[in-house]
Amino acid sequence: MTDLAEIILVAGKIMAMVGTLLYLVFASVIVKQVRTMSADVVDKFNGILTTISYIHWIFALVLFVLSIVIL
Amino acid sequence: MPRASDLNDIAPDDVVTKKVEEEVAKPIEPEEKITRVSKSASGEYRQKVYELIKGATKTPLSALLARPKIFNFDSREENEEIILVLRRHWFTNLRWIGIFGLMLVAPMFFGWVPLLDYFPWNYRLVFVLAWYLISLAMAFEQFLSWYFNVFVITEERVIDIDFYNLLDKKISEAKIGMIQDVTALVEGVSQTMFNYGTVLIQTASEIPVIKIEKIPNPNLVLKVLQQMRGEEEQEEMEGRIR
Repeated sequence: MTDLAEIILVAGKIMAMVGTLLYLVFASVIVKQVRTMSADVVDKFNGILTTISYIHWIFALVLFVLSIVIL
Repeated sequence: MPRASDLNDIAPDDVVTKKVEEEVAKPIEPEEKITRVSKSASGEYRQKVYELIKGATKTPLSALLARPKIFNFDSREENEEIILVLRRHWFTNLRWIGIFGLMLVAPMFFGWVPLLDYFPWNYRLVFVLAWYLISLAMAFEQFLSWYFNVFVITEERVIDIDFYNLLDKKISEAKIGMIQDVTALVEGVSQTMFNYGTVLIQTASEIPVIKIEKIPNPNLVLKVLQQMRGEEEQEEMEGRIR
């Protein structure tokens, strides 16, 4: 039973790491996307949206690091 | 005979060269001054357009922007005046805003999921953080889709800028003069109540139909395009007279 629990936790950790890494890639794509869109369409909130996309990327990075460190 | 004298001058094997008459620059005669039939006719059309869009807001987060000062787009020509910028009606955003709200409160009910209790606190922390981040990304994506998918009417053309999913985009444009027919559709209860719908623009250009969905006040767009077409026709007519 203990072995099974450990296997599940290790599997959970691997899944979390892979998932957060993929999410980090996704966040990078969002940053790129916002920059592309901002180049095509210019409006008042473009700067704010670009900043949000970078903040989101930083959070994604923190989550990825967190999944490595605390799991 | 006059012909004989010519033959003496030109031997049969000689290459016959033809003198090219140099074009003498003729003085350009001043064009006849034709009084412009209606110099201000196109201006009148424009004035009507301005009157039509008078009440529209200029707030950047509006779905209908009239003559915005800050707005710009990549392929805009110098001094090209933007008449209208349209986004999807705000009512169409309620769905994803509702889903986002539900996603925010969902972790309160995670205690009901027995499987989560099995994992230690650090796993649950990462899971909850990931959940909030995914929720935020979903809402952000939806907002980006609303904010950057715009339909622009300028004094010369209409441009439909569409961004599909993450990295695909489509930009359709047609000259105002190429527009053949414009149809405004308001269908269903919500569209009738909140005055939004679809505008179909049939053109003589490569893209036969430009479809703009869920935009506010389609009748206004129809009227503006009618006036703009009138202005364009007037300009063409004046151009011909000149």
